[in-house]
Amino acid sequence: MTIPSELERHIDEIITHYPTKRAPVLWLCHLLQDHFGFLGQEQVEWIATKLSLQPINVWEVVTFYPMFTQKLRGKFHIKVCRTLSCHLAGSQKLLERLKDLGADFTVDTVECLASCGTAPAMMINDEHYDSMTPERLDKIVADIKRTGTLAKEPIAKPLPAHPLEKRVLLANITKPGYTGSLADYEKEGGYQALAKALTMKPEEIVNEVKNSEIRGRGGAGFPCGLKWSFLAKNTGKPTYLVCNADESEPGTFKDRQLINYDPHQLLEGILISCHATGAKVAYIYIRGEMPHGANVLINAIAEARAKGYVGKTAEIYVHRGAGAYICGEETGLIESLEGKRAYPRIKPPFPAIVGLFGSPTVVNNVETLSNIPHIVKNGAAWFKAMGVPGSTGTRLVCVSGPVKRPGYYEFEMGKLTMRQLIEDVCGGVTNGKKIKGVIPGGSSMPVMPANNLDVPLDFESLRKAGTMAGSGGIVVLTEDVSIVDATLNVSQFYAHESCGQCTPCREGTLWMEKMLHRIKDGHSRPEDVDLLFEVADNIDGKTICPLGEAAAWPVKAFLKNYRSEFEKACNKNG
Amino acid sequence: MNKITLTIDGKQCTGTAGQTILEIAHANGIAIPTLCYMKNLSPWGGCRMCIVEIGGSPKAVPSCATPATDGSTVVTQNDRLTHLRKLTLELLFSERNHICPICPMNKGDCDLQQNGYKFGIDAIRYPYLYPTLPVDLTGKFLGLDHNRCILCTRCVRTCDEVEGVHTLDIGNRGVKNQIVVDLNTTFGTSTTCTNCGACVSACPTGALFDKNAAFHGPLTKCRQVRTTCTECAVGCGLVVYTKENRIVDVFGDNDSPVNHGHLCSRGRYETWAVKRNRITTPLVRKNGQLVPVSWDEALQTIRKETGKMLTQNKGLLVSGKLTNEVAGTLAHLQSQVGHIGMYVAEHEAALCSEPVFTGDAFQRITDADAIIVLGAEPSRLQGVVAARIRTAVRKRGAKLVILNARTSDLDSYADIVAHVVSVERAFWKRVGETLQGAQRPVLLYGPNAMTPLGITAMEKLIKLFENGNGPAVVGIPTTTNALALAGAGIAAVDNVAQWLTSGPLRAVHIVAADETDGGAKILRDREVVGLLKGFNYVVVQAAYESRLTELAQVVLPSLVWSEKSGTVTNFEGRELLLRPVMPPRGQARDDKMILESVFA
Ligand SMILES: Cc1cc2nc3c(=O)[nH]c(=O)nc-3n(C[C@H](O)[C@H](O)[C@H](O)COP(=O)(O)O)c2cc1C
Ligand code: SF4
Ligand code: SF4
Ligand code: SF4
Ligand code: SF4
Ligand code: FES
Ligand code: FES
Repeated sequence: MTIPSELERHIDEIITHYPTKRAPVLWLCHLLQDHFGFLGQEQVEWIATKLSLQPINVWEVVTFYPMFTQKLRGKFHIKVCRTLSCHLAGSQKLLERLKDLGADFTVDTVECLASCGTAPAMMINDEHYDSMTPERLDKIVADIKRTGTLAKEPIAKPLPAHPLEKRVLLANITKPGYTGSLADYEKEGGYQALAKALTMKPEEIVNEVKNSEIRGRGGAGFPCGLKWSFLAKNTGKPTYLVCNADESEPGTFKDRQLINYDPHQLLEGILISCHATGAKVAYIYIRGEMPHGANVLINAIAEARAKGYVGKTAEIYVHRGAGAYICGEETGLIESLEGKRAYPRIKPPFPAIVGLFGSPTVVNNVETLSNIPHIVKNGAAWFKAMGVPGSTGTRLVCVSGPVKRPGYYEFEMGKLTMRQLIEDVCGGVTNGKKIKGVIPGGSSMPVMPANNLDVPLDFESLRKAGTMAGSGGIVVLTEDVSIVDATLNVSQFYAHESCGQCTPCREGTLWMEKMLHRIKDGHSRPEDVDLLFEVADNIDGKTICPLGEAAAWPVKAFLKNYRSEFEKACNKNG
Repeated sequence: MNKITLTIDGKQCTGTAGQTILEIAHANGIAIPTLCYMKNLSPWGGCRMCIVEIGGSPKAVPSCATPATDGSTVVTQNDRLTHLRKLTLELLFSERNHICPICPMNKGDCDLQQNGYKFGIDAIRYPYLYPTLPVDLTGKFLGLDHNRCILCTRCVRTCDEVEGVHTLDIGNRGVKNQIVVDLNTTFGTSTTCTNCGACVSACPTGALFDKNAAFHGPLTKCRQVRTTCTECAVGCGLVVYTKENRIVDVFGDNDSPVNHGHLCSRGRYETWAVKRNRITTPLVRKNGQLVPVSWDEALQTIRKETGKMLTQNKGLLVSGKLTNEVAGTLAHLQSQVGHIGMYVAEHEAALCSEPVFTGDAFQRITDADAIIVLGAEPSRLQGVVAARIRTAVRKRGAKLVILNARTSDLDSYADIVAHVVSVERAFWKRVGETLQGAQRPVLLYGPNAMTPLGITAMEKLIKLFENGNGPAVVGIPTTTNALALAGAGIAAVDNVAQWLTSGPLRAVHIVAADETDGGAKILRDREVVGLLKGFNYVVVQAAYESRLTELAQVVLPSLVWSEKSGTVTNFEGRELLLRPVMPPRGQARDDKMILESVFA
């Protein structure tokens, strides 16, 4: 096995991004897999030797992350999204076309590719495809077979704004000729907030962010300024900032846009946040299925470094994930950044005290951090004037499912109801079908039944309605959707993504999936509905990380709101 | 240390800040069910059996992984928690194959089974999955049946944190999680497993099991005796399980101040799980053949042949494994036997010439921030010491310098390894830099440090610390009780051929006792065979048949470790007790008694 010297130089450079010998493992796995096509024993041992680790430390990582393979795949690896929005949009039909393609092709299903608004989505190697149809798929495959190569797939154009939107974070992206380059960003006033921030004391920025009352956009909605103020001080250790760009919550595809179309906004937010929190190094953890986004960021960082933005007050590095939803959970993410299996940590201690590399760490979502330049530039009062108390500012929401205009939108929080969003902004449901229910914030959040759609879209109103704003990923379910089937699809996601540490989550998610299969196939008894609820309840609140809840809540909510559908399915054969 | 007080199940409990709820509960006599928790291992918090409620919050937190907070109120038992624990057990029982009657480890001490009984799990409402997972029976002593694994990771953590080799890990993700050996190989082909068996002791189910103990019924029904391993100078505490006077299993004694429950493969398995031919009656050579005879006949034969010999013509060459009590007897025999020697490893005689014991040496190694191994081979000879060295390096970042001729697995953890001690300046400069600033250095040396070069190296090393904390200098002999025997005045002999030819010897009585090779190691020096053949009379006193017994005119059966009583002194100077686990096999007798009757 030989490693080209250029690749080894790249590897040596990557290694300098991390303070521990283990942390670069995922990067090295990516680079070697890109070169050799797989990670066999030789590759694993090479990485172990390179990083002075035991081979088993590399191997355990390889087997945890689905993007890594120990066996050579076909030259063209087709990955079709299996998850809810794509499932509803017919991903099964795509899979049916992909039989017997020959040894050059490997076909797999993958979980939500963060393109639910353009479902069904798929990837071939590093190329990403939106709005697939069986016909288009046939053509792509035929082209590959004819030419023996894979054509580049262009990145989709940004969506224009709807009149009801209030675009702040998305303001630049549809400006004519805007490319997201440093020059374009600066032309729109970019990096002025950073200049201003660097004249401010860190505490002043923290206070401004606190006063803006911005809440985290990653899912939990925790007040951002407060989180920053929890950071342990005077520990003698460095502080780290981590940008969570793992965007994997089914139904969510907003961070992808912020990264692809306006990366410098994010970088500026990170640099300001580093100054505010005292971090000298920031990592952007981007999910493995966004190779394009990773390149956009790497290039943007290079541009910003050349201009003296990056590298002066703080360094920013990109860390690639490798196909595990659990890396979105902040302590799973930290473990993964450290080059390990993404096993969420037991809390306390929280990352603000003991986080990345044992140091105080802040983890923030892409959208949260992209807001920071605007808050610093325009002030907390300006920010707070948008939205409603408790939910200040704008928020990106993502709508998928059978609506006329699915996509991402930016609104002032609390100023629009779910019904207005679906009917006025998205143009209503396709084919005049009735809405059966709506998932309001990624598939982990409890479904809202159709009679409840007049809730305003903000944190508190949704909480009062018995659900949560979550990640802003809205999935519309219409009357033709089988709830049993949808529940099964969602449960399959969590069973696939459970890290396996906790008994209730590891076993429970599998059992929910198995039982839902039985119910769907009509092989179950009526008692199974209660048993299903009980298993979900046993996971809820009893696990190391909130993935347990994320798996339990949708099942419990579907059961509560559509119980008769489950009972009917049970009785089909019995 | 900050004292904290909390209320657990209505009882006022005190502990120290930083302790987990479980630790404080246990210390205060409150039992909480557990599966993945194991004392002295980092918490895992995954099984969720130990869940408790704090301050009325509906969140159930794992008490094994949650630090207790002052003034909190904890509930460990109520209907809801019992219900949740039951559900968790049901999920575990249904995940893989837990059909207890066909488990190799239906030992009545399977934690899963016990919990199942306790919570009254009689029927599982979830359909069984019955995956067909592999069973690995390739290991020399241990087997792994994945079908019975509950993924508690106690084995993984033990292998990593106690034995320090990290052979085991978890592969895959979620419900596909599976314990793996190295890069998904088997125990039989593992390149890192030391066969210490600690993972088996840690496993709460029948997933990891000792092949020799399988299907012997519950260990709880066995007789349990605590005794001491006499395979090396560490002197680990053992708990031996027997049934009908057969050893069913051997575990480390958790209460031993020496090894705290950990063992190496020699103490754990080699002494009993390896088949050896035991000598059960005295044997006398008749017409070229060794034939069984009575003790009386054997003793008479010896007396007839050697009784009239001059003292100076008689030699007694003994194993360094003998107990302190036998050493006492040997001291009395000096007047009757011209030459008494104890055969030891190469260069070990010098180590024995001024026996030094370092009290608390083991703890010092455990706490060290720099360890120098000079002319010693803990991996091969004192497995438990090697484990401490590995964990000191891997877990606490201790520096490690190895100066030893042979390679061992420890080399891969070392900052500096030299197989030939160098006298070069640059080398010693590097050693000095590596060890600089060490607060708790330990210099562990073995017999091979007793060469001129080794002694130079030792002097150089000690000099390196002139201006800082001097190292704890710990000598570790290869031979179990050599230091104590030497202390009792028995000369150590590391060149047997020379010893045999040094006096006007005509008869030699060799006490190999229960050395697992039957004492054959003294024949390694080819000359010795010829020399022994030239003697008028050779008596071998041993427990196992070997090439040595083949050379004897009379063979006398000794006791093995599990039949012995007495004491040995470990390298720290601790006097450790041997307790008989079972009665002597056949006509075997205690070494002391044999010597007394031969030389009466
Ligand atoms: C299972 C799970 C998956 C998550 N996935 C993401 C994610 O993909 N992106 C994200 O920003 N936050 C995700 N989170 C939330 C993070 O743990 C964390 O709260 C968030 O990154 C904090 O950033 P914020 O305060 O800016 O929202 C996830 C949480 C859980 C429990
Ligand atoms: S809840 Fe699930 S995903 Fe989270 S740590 Fe436990 S097993 Fe892993
Ligand atoms: S026998 Fe010892 S070294 Fe081997 S796997 Fe078990 S704990 Fe690890
Ligand atoms: S083999 Fe035993 S100790 Fe290891 S994880 Fe499985 S049940 Fe636990
Ligand atoms: S380290 Fe020595 S005393 Fe301990 S088990 Fe091994 S051989 Fe026996
Ligand atoms: S991209 Fe397929 S469900 Fe999100
Ligand atoms: S014993 Fe605490 S979670 Fe397993």
